[in-house]
Amino acid sequence: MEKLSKEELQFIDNYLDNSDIIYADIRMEIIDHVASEIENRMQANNEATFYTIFKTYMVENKADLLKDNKKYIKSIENKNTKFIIKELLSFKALIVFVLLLFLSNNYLLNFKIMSPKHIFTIPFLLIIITTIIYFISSKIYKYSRFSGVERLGFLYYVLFQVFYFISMFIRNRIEDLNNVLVSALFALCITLIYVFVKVTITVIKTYRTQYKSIV
Amino acid sequence: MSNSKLYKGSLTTIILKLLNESDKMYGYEITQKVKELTKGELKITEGALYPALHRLEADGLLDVEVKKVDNRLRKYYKITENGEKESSHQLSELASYIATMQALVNPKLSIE
Repeated sequence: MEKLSKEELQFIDNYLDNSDIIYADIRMEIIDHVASEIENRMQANNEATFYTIFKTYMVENKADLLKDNKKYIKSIENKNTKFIIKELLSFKALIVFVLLLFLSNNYLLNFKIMSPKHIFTIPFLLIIITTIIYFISSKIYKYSRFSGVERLGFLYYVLFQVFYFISMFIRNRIEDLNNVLVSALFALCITLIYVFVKVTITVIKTYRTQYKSIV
Repeated sequence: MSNSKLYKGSLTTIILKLLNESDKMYGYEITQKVKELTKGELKITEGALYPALHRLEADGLLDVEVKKVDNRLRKYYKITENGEKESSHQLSELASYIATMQALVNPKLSIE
């Protein structure tokens, strides 16, 4: 059977990219499906060219392909959320939380290393650093965009809002709250960051293993 | 799934059954295999197949392997241990459903 050339495959890739299928992992699977179908149709009809078959195929199936793209993104978000909840409820996360609670209560606050008012700058800074790293990777180094990694961004945004809420809660009641509660909230924030970073690294490692030829 | 809503609920069972019987398969191969086994009666569309595959992958019932084939990357799906258990569970549920429907629509052909 005649196989599609690199240029023809690139044409499909560009077409899908321009059709808002922006993630490399989703596009790659669709390219293979479309290419396999075109090769089959070309074999059945020797007269037909790549472009005429491609055009007919897209007229018939483009809506389905775009629907698949949206559903995939949704399933990826669900998968990431489940992963984060699982890690958050793990024994390791509990150890990290207890350790941080002890450290913040005994050193950061009691020894006046940081005031309760300013302690929540740390989680915000960590989130900002993570966002800067992401933008450098995607915009400057132009790494391929993978759905699983990039959709974590939405969960990071939710995390940022959680920190913002905690920070507001602390700021308004700073005189009434005791150090243990402030330390517990601080420990919770850093534990959340630990879980997010751990999940992010695991997701990136999985992609690196699965897609090593294009990463 | 193209030709009948009746097949829609059985899509994951079909996918798990096919993957349970082979080492690994890619999306297009699954559509062609189903077409071949049903002599063209059942055509699985991209819009139905891939979301189902991705859901099964997200649920840990399928594992993924990516290989370079014919100048492009191909995503192969393999059934996991949990997927094998789920496959046999879904198949027995489907068999019981078929038997019930048989008894309802054609009592003479039913086993009991």
